[in-house]
Amino acid sequence: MADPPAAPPSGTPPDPQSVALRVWGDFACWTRPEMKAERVSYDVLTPSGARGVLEAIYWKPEIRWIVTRLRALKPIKFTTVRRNEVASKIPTKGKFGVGAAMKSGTGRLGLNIEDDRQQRAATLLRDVDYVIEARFEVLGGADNAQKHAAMFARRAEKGQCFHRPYLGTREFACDFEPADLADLPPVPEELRGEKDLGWMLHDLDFHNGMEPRFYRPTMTDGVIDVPYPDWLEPPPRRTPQPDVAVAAEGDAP
Amino acid sequence: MILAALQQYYQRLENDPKSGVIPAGYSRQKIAFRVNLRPDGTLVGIEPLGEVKGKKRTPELMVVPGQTKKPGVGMNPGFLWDNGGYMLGYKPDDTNPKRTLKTFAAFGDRHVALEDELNDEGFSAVVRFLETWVPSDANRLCPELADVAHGFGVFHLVGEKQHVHERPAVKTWWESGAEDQNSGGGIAQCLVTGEVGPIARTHEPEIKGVLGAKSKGAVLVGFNLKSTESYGREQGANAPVGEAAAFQYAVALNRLLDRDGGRRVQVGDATVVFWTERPSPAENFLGLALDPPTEDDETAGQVAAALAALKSGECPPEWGDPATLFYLLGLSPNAARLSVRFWTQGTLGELVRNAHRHFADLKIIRPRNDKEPELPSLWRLQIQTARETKEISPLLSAGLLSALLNGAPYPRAFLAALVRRTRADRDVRGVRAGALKACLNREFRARRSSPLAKELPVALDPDRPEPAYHLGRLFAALEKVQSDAFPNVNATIKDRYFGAASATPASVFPRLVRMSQHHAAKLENAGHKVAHERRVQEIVGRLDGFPRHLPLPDQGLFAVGYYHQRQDLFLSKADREAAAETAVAAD
Repeated sequence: MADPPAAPPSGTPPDPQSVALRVWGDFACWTRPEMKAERVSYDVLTPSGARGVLEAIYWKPEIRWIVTRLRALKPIKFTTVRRNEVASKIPTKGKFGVGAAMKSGTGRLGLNIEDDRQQRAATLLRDVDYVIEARFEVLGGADNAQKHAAMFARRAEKGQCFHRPYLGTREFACDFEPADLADLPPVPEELRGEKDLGWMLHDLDFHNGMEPRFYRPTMTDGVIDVPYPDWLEPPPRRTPQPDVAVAAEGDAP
Repeated sequence: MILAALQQYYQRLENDPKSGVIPAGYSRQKIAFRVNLRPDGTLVGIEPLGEVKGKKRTPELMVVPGQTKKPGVGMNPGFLWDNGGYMLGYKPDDTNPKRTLKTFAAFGDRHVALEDELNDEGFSAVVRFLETWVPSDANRLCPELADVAHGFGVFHLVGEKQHVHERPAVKTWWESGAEDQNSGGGIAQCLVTGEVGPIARTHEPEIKGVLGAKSKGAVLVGFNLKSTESYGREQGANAPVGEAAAFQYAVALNRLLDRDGGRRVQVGDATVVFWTERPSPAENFLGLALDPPTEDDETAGQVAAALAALKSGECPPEWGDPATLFYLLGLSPNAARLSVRFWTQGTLGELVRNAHRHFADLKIIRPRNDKEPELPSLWRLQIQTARETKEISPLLSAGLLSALLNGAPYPRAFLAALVRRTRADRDVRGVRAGALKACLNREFRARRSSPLAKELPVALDPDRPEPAYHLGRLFAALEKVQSDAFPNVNATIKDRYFGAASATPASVFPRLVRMSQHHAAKLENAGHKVAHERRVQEIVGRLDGFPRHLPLPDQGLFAVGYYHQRQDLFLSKADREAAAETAVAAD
């Protein structure tokens, strides 16, 4: 178990490996695992959901994202929708599975919704706006941290992403932009005070049978401090790199 | 948090000896017979249980260890209770005696295996009995079995008050969870309590009492499809909830859904249950606020209390702390599952304030002999948007309820449906006019595109700035001229022109005004004629031409103006003064 990296003392310059991203959208569904198959969303986003957003914008095998703080900017509002979904999954194994299709180069992997319809209701969040604060840890590779930071900043600024980031489920795509922590809108009245959010998914332990890990966040004035995922192996110690000025935005790569 | 709040409710019930709640690990079953044994395990007799009414015997309800048995071909012996097949190897009209003997063997094996562990005399007596019992003797020793053996039975030692499964040693052993039928979900952290322990494979018992769901029950949490699984986890492993917690939330929810419990109301297609964090008389009030009864005599006292609370907007002192949390859960069925339509928690203080606001917004002047209740229920509001109950949009109920509870604007669809319905049946009744008024006022308060310049009052306000309101008034005034001139006309201008006048005033109002002059010419009483003309003049004077088109919220305002003016036409001088006084008092 790795000790969480100590918080930098106040007054020091901000951590060059930390980022802040604002994401917003009309709908979000952070499904509570204990409320399925009819989905019910958590009140706010989960750290793993936030990680998914960051990874959609910038990720390489050399880094990993650690969500440090989540911030809700708008009051929590729910709505209900009922949608047609499919009941089955396309198998990965077997004669008609994804594996066989990949091997042979052909195959029919479609599902016909008409034959496989399953109506499911979902209790969703409406009109959400969050700030994700996170830092990344460099696990390997030749690139130094500043380079990763600059790449993320550039991509977030330009709206680039590997796949469209989404709020919980793929159909709820979100917009994003780099967040300016010094210039956030005031906390809405509804979010003031402390709120116990109950047991919530923290993230999955992918090295241990994809075991879900839970934590019990408290939201204070819309802010949730996320503990370090203590099941992760500590990042390898790297030889200190010579200080390179952070590449200015728009510089040639 | 839903499950956690339900689980807390269970704990509340458990602490209340009067609640009669079933403890975790047990269920209430219909027991049809008992096997009476001597302490050495020899049979005394088999005794049918329950009351006999006429020819029918109603089995006795008894709390027994374990849950309702799953149907199916697998061996599933109960613990110290089961049907005749498992307990005695005997089934009336047996079609498959071989299987019945197998089930008896399975039942016997389960109990024999536990004898050492339990180490209880009563239990050992049962084991001795099971070892020596010959199934083929059943019918000979007890002819009544033919009637009762398809039901469940229990064991009993002669001379003892309690049944074998009720003996303290047996209970202690059972409650230690040493052998639980429902495990198999593995060990994980429970999402309700946070404790690490055995996880319920399926969440039992099933939830009964949601309108439209299967009568045998449905599940709130369940995975019966591949597409609902995550990371290959099946059943309960997908939604780790501890065995006890799963049982407790389900029992609590079933208790709330109980038809006679007074903790549930039907709101549209959603079955709504509500409860408070601590016992409080407010729990009764919630039901009344959500669904005020129309039959006043039965619940007169409660209604009076509810009204008083709503009138003042203050939490009555006997409810305890106004900061007490209340919970409200709306469920509707979807296949064999239940879906959460809404989930709200808030404090009692907020609730009373918001309910007060809700009913104040709906308040509108009524004709003196109006039969409609003063506090319209949500259903009565919704029926204003449709011809019959089944036409009501299912989406409205949740929106209206949440608007009631948190003071937010009513759903947009509600205003649209009200206006549409008003245009279609050209009828602006008290509840409908009140609903329109409330929609517009709430939109105005939330400062979203509302046509209002200030809030609408309960009764006519001739000095309002909005033209749409005065167009409505004008229409009412013109209609009155016509009805006074031709009391028996078949199709009034309301029947013909209400829709067009409210949506496209420029296309019909000039004609209506012209027609009205003809109508007025027919009036015989000169005084009436002057009064009518003066009224029309007064209203037209506030208008600056007729707009070609009114947007939807303005059409609502048109209807409110029409209703206000029309009520005003029927008011006597005394009524008017009384109305003015109440308006002042309300402010």
